[in-house]
Amino acid sequence: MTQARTKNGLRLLWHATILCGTIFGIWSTAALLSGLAQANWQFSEFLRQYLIAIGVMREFHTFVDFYTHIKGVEYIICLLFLGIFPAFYTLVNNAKQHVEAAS
Amino acid sequence: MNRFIAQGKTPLAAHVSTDGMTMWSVKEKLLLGLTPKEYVAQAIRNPLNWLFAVIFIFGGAITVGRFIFGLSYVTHSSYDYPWGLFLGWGLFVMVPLSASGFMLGTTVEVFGRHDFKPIERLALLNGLLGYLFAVIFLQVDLGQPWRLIYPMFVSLGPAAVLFLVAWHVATYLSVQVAELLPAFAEWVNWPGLKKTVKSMILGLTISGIILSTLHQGALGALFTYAPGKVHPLWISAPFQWFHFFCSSIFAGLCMLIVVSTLCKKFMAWRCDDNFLNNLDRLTLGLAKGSALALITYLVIKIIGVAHDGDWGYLASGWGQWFMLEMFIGVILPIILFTIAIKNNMVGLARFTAFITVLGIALNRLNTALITFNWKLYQEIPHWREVVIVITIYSLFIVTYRFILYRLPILYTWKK
Repeated sequence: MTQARTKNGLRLLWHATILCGTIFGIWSTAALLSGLAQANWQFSEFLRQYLIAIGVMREFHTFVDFYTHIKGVEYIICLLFLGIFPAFYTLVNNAKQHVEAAS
Repeated sequence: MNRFIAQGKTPLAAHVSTDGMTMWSVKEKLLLGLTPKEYVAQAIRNPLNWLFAVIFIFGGAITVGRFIFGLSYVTHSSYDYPWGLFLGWGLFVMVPLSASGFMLGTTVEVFGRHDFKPIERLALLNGLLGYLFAVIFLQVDLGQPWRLIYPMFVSLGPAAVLFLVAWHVATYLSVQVAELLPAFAEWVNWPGLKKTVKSMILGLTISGIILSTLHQGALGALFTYAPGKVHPLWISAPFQWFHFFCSSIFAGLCMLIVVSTLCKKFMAWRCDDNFLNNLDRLTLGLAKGSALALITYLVIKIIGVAHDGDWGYLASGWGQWFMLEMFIGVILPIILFTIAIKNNMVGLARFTAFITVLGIALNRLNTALITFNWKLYQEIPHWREVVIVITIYSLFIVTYRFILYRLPILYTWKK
């Protein structure tokens, strides 16, 4: 009984994930295409506008401003990497043991 | 050789013949146990040898011309472009691809992963020959090889990165020769030499780690000589040494996968069961190491861009070229290696290693040649320069094959 309920719960979670993924996928594809259309289908211009919008490309008036900004971005990247690397390490080390001989 | 093996010949792998009656001489070992007539016949039958013969006749003449008529006869080098293909390919590409020596030396001798032993000697040979031919490329570029001793002993420049690179490459080359001496000692039957070198192997390995990690980084540091010339996306002064060092890790491992695959495909007669039976498992092990080094490299490259505030350059043509290089040489290999490792797909791991090697070659050529002087004109290498590079690389392949045929690299010497 409990096993069946857990199985149903997992199935529900799986379907909910697919639904959310589909909605986000449609939304991001639409955003990407409309962004590219606004930039006259020029990828470089689209990327430039995006980098300005998220704040990594902008004018700095003092050296302290510049350093505060780049250090902030670097810390965010480092923190993400501290989370991603152990997960990636676990992923590649949890492979199947049996090796199929290549032809 | 395959034809002789089909006729009942056994590849020479011991000091005495298979019937135990004849002791092989050095001449017979050099001829792989064949008669001179049989040896020449098998050499002539191989179409690759004919290709090499054409390359050596044509390219050899042009190489001699370089030493007679000077550098301007073969390159477009100038004060704007001091580094052409000789260094762009010969030094900056070949050295990271030769990092396999210290990587596998460390894995086996320091970390105690003796399961990687079957490919350790191949890794060491790949490292040794890569460095040796990098020096040969350097000599063709510099000319006057008899003055090689000058930066080493006569006219020192200890404040220069080039001084550090020269000394590191020379000493590391000596260390790699010493690391491969046991294979040579087995082949010539000098057990005393093997015992002596084996007693020093841990020290040699640690020396190799120190020297190679320092000079892989130093090659990157060389570009801090010309910070305004290299495109900002390919140079980040505080991280340049780290980018070069980190990329050499997966470059060396992937080159080892490529070389071992070629050995398995074209030189199976020379490989023993210990090598062939373990190769697929070891390939996936190397792929794991490469994937972890690749993801680290990707992050430090992004940090390099963030640190210098170079985001704006990404929205230019050079930026798209940079992103293409990163996608083909780093992101795609991470994805493909992960799929290969998770599903035990050895063939995919081999294909991925091949594109990773191409990716690292593109990165070094971009840094040393293509994006160099990005604000000036683009240098197109002289056709004679390309011919000499092909000639020396062919010599590298022939030397590689000569040693693999003979020394116990892919097989275990029988006592």
